[in-house]
Parts: sequence; C-alpha cells; structure tokens
Amino acid sequence: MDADILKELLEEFITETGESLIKLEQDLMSYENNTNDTETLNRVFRVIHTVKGSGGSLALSKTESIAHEGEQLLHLIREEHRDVDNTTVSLILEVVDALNEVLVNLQKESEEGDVDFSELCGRIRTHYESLSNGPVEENATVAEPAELEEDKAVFGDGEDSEEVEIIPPGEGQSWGLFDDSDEPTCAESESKDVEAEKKEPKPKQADTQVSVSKKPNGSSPTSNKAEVSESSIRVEIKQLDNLMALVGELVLTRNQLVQKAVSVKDQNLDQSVLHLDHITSELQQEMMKTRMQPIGNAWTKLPRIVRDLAKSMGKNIRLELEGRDTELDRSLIEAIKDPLLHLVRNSIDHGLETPEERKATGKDEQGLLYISAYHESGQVNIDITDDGRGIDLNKVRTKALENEILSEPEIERLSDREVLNLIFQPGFSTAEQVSNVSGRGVGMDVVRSNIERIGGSVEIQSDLTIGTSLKLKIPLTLAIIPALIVRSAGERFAISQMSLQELVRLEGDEIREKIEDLYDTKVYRLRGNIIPIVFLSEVLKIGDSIDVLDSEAINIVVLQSEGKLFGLVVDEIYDSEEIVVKPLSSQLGRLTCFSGATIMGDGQVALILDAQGLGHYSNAFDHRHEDRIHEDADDTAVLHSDMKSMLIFNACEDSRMAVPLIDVNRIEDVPIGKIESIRGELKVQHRGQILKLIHLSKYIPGVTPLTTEGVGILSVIVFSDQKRSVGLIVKDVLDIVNETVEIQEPSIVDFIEGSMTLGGKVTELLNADRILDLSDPLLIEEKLQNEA
Amino acid sequence: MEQCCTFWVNGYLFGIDVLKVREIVEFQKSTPVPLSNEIIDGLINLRGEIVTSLDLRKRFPIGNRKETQEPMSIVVITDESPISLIVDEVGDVIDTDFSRMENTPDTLQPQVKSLISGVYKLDRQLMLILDVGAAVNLEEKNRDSA
Repeated sequence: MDADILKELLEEFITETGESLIKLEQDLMSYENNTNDTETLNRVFRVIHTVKGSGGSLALSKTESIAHEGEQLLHLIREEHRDVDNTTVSLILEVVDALNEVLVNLQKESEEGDVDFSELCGRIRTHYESLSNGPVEENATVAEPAELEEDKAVFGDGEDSEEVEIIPPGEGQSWGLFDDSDEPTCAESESKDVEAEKKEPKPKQADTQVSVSKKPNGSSPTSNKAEVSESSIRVEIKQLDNLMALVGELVLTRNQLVQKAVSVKDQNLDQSVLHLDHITSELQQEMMKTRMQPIGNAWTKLPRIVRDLAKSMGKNIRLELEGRDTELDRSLIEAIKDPLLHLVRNSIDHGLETPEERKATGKDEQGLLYISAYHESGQVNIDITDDGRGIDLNKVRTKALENEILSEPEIERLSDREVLNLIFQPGFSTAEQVSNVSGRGVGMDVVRSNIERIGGSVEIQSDLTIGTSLKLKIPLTLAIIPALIVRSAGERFAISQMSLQELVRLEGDEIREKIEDLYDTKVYRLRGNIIPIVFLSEVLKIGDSIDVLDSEAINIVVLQSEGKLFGLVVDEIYDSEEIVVKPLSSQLGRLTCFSGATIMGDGQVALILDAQGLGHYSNAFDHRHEDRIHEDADDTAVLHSDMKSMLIFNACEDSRMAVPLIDVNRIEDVPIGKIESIRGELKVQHRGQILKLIHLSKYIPGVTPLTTEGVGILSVIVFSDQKRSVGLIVKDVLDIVNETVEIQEPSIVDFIEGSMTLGGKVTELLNADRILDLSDPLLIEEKLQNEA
Repeated sequence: MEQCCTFWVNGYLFGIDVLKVREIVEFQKSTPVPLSNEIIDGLINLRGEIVTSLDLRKRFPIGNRKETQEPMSIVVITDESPISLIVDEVGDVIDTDFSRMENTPDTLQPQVKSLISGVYKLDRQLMLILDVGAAVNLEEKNRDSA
C-alpha cells in the first residue's frame, strides 16, 4: 500500500470519525432523554459500526476493538428493545472518549499510541453480560464473521494487524469512510482546519491522556450551537453578508491607505501597503467565493420545463446546458431565475419550430436549445441560443405599428438592429396567437429591466436561418463593482463599467463638426449613428451651463441603457476603480439618476450614476420617448391616478407657467435673426413652412414683453395639431416634472386655466388649445367678437 | 429619569433623547446630492459608513446660519440608517424627567411645532424636545418637490 494514500486515508478517517463522534454524542444525549426514538439509536449504532469497519480496514486494531465492544453493547440494546440505562450510556461515552484519544494520537504520530483499553473493554463485557444474562455471544453482532475473528485476534495483541486487507477507496460501501461525506474537496479543506485545530493545544506527554480526550469534547456536544455537519459548517447568510460588508470597508480603507502612501514616499511603507493591497484583494475574492453558487442552481428545473413544454406543443427539443459550474453571487442567481425561464419559454414557444416545419426547411427534426454560461472579463455571460426560425424583422415592424409603439416613418428610419431591439419595448409581442406559455406582451421588456436592475445587460442576435441567440451579461456581484470615475461641476461621480460603452474626447473644431443641434436636442455622430447627448451638469442642475460649441474640448461617456446609446458629457474622466456600492437613504427620495453612493480613496463620498435614469433624461425631448414618459406616468398611474408630465417654463421674467408635455410638439431655439415680422406678426420659416410665433404679453395682462436686446436665441415651444401649429416664445424652459395636476385656484384670465404648485412653486397652467387657436387670426377675431 | 442631549438652532434650545443619539461629530463638508430636497445637506463618510446629513435650520425652516458659524452634527439613530442632523451648537447632556414634559404651546411657529414632541421647562428657559422620527421623515417634502 502506498504510504501517501494511506496517510491521506488516515487523515480522512480522523476528520470524519472526529465529526461523527461529536454527532454520536449528541444523539446519545437525545436518546437518553427520549428513549423511544429508535432512529437516533440506529444512528449511534451506525456511527460506531462505521468506525469499527474503517478502523479495521486501516489496521487500527485498538480502534477496531474498542468500537467493537461498543457496538456489541448497542446491538444488544437495539435488538432486544431494552431501555437504555445510565451505565450503558456512560460506557458508550467512555468508548467515545477512548476513540477520541486514539484519534489525537493518530493525528500526532499517525499511530494509535500505547493506550490500553482492556480495562474498559472488560467493564463493557461485564455490563453486557449482566444485561444479556449470559456470556457474550460475539457472533450475535451484525458484523461479518470473518471480521469478528480478526477482532478476536487483534484484541489480545494490539500490533498484529497485517492480515487486514485494505480495499481501495470507492470500491465498496463497507469502506465507511465516505459513507456520509459530502464532496471530497470540502472534506479535504475541512480536514486541514480540523488538523490545525487539533494541533493547537500540543499537550505535554505527561498529561496527554487528560487533555486529549477533552479536546474533541471542546466542541461541546451538549450545546446546540455547534451545528456540525459531516464536512462543512453551516453559516448564516446574514453572517456572510456582514463579513462581506466588513471586507468592503477594508477595501475602502485599503484604497485610502494606498493613496496616502503615494504622498508619503516611504519605501518601507510602500512595501507594506503593497502587501496589504494584495492580501485585501485576495481576501475580497475569497470572501466573494463564499457567496458564490454555481449557476446550475438557477437552471435545475429547466430540463423538466423544456421537456414538458416541448411535449405540450408537439415539438421535439434537445436541451444542452454547458458551464453549470460557473459561479456567481447567490443573490444574482435568484434574480436571473425568472428572466432565464422566460427566455427559455420564448425560445420554445416562438423560436423553435415543430418537427414538420423543421423538416420542410431541411433542418434536423430535433430543435436545439443551447444554454451556456461562462466567465468573461469579470462578468458572467449566459447565452441562450436556439436553432429555430429566428425573428422576422418585417413581422416586428408590422407589430410595432399595430401596437402603436412607433409610427411608420419612424420605423423606416430604424436600422435592422434597432428593429430587433423593438422586441424589448413594453407591450410588444410577436406571437400571432397568445399562448399560455408566452406572448402575453409582458415579456422581453420585463426581462431586460430585471437584468438591468442587477447591473446586467441583454443582447439579441437573430437570423432567419440560424436562429436566435440572447446574451445575458451579469455582474459577478452587486456589492463591489468596477466603475469609472468622472467629474462634473467640481463633483465626482462613479459610473458602473457595465453600462459603459466607450469614451470619446472631442477637441476644437471636431466639436462643431460632430456635435449637432437636432431640433431641440444635441446629438453626436458616433460612426454614422446619431446618439443623443446629455450634459451631466444640466441633468443634475449643478454648475453653470456651458455652450458646448464654444468649449475647447469635451469628454463624452457613451453609455448604454435599454438597448440605446447615449452620450453623457462630463468635465473630466478619471480612472476606473473598484467601488463598494452603498444604498441611498430614504430621505433622499426617489432619485432615478443615482443608484447609490460610494466612498472614494480620499474618504469623500461620491454618488453612483444610474445609466437607466440618465437615459430617460436623454430621451426627454425626443418624440419617441415622450411616449415613454407618458408610459412611465401611466405605470405610476396605479398609485397616483392623475400624474402628468408637465413642461414648466417662464413666459417672462416672473411668470412661471406649465403645459402638459403631451400637448407640446417640440421645443426649438430660434436665432433672433431668423424671425421676420409681417404687419406686427412674428413668423419663422421652419421645414419649408411658416410658423407663427406669439408671445403671451399680447394676450395676457400682466405678462411683460420680452426684451430681445442682447438675446441671440429665443426659446420657442411649438404646439400643433393636425392642421394648425403655433410657436410660443418663452423666456426659458425650466423643467419637466411628473406630478399630480390639480388646479388649486381657478383663473379668470383667458388662456390660463388656473394655478397650482408644480415643482414646489406656484405655477400657472396654460390652456394649450387656446394657444393653438391663436394660429388662426380670423378665428380669434371671431371669438373676440362673440365675447364682445 | 431620562437624559437629554441639548443643542441650539437659531437661538432655540432643543433637546433630544440621549438614547437616540449615536454620536456627535464636527461638521464636515458633505457631498451634495443634486436634485434632492434642499433640506439635504449631502452625504458624509462616517468611518466608512455613508450617512445622509440634514440641515435642521432648513428642516424647520428658520433662517440661514451665519457664515462664520461652525455647525455641529448630531448623528441620530432612526428606524433605518443613521442620519446626521446639522445644528448650530451642541450643549450639555442634562437629566430630564419626561413625565414632566408639557404640550407644545400653540404660539410656536407651526413648522417648528410639527417637529416638536413637547416642551420641557428648565430653570431659566424652555427646552423643545425634538421628535426625531418626524424630523428625519422627508417623505411628504420629497413628494412636494419631486
């Protein structure tokens, strides 16, 4: 027998036996208190039996013999249904102590040591005889006769054990070593721990006997606290969370220290800090691992679901799963379960065809659904691929029209990729028939928002011949994320790398070439694609607004949210850093622009920007997304039935007004030079049409005329319906708010419906219909006459 | 017998149950939170914990602090995360008997009154007992300005 293997087996035996003995003690205690529980007694018996068997196979004669005596005694009680008496329990406990003693010796010297148990054995025999009223019948045990003979042999002579045959592990149940253990790897790592623990006290030779038997008992069999399982310990998730939080703190402190060390310039300090840096990173990784679970846990039910669904739909589908061992944080596993299930259902329902259809197109009758998970650049990718019919873009277009997601000209403008991404729009479903599997229209948008909520993203690729492939990108953990640090108006902000697409820096003339004004919003041409850009300082209302076209250089952070790109203009871009995400307190209200806060290396707090929230700002003036704002308003409608998106502006210096955003066609900046005056009426040419401009000073008393001196550009809010359109010159457009619109004070002034508080200030509500009336001078004259 | 931590805001003497106070720290410059309620001074790093800081003067609201005045932060324990309350000055901890607390006089400014759970008579002046729960509850305020 190979010495190494023997040593390994011995170690395993020590660990396992040590653990089972602790359990045995507990069981024995509970058995004593609850004599009817035969199951407990069986467990006790099994442990002793296993120890005996294992000890025998490892040529541990003393272990075997003492366990044998214990087993005899227990057997008697078990077979004859005797009430267990005090003496028996005590004797079994003594057997346990003796075994523990042997274990410690084995641990130290790989030998049983020269302890003598013949006295104990004698007492057990005496007790046995007194119980059974007869001499010991050794053959009455359940052990195999052959083994028993050996027992007899070794009983007298402790060292003679050559004849014991050793069976290689894994070949038989009788081995006992592996009976109840979990994964061998766990056992291994655990055994090291136990080893370390046992080595710790290192008692002197003289008092070995006393201390050795105490050590395993130190895990206190009577206290229920120690929840010892076979080879791993159970830790409450809360405790892991606490540890994780502490590690987070450590990471922060490390960051701070690293920064400070740079300024101190001390080589010794540098080395220590470097060391601390490494250890902290490692600790963080190890800590994260404790919360990691294989992704297989999220798809344990998939094979069954796929089978059932395929059957119910008359489809023949093969499910292939790959990378089930890919690990990610357990909270994320929970979070992806439902989206994953939904995507699988979609594939089966919409993607994969029936065998007949497949045959007709020359495909294998059996459809393939392939799910794979793998790590890539610090995140987990999950691919859900089917070889089905793919997504028909024309159907998507038709559907988008039918469901009024987009208008026809808008759809025509979209690239194929953008069309494909329409399936993520709320209220979209291509299923011709609503089945009970999917196709209720609450599908892909929910999937995407759920995935984005945990900082992930969804990508889709589809081909009519190859099939559809969805890629979910999931961060490894939520607690610590890599982030880009940017600055705007003197404040630092962090942006999760997950939503980051690229960084663009424009200098000098480049700015004027590539940044354009598209009606009311600035756009940037990114390799032929037009993406809206937003200014962080403007969105957050911090600092002075700058005219981008005048600046020397601008930094654009290109972000992706809900499948759309947009550019975020910041003053400066710093490094990327690992940050610890902390939630914002409820006192801050619902700020969609921020997903949390973090502590930077210098100890200051920085806010973490939320790409989704910022994305909504970038859409604010875009028609397509106006709908979205309304939809958002509709979403919250359940709570506040009369929430509306309102555009707030200053008609003149001290006249704060609002109109429902839905009535606003667009907002334009009109250079004053372009405005022409015809018989006192202001007009501007726009898209080949003449737009009439009005100012409220002409119609509402108390509104002062605007001074156009020194003003180059006028803000114009354009109202239109099918036939008419009119531009309202305002001093400035202030904000868009989603609020409950309830007139608190009705107005007697024409054009004004009344006043109320919007955005915390008193605001007058303008009647947009009446403004539109002004487009037709005849009509207004008529009306004035009628009123007169 | 209870104990009160006392502090001043705009000349008013306030008291707060000492058991609700986690610690008192010097005012530190906070990170402002754009788009949030103006009562929010910002976020501070309290030994690795991010704590939201409220300015009590703006909470009431009762006038601005003189620029020369160096305020203090009282970190209070709430049902959720701890909150730092910025006050003008922190006084002593004094023994009080809450059973002798009297109702808030109606003459008090209404916005102050809503955040006061009672009035306690000291030898020389009155102490207003701050209702911590009401003071840190900005839900309505947030709704107003959302």
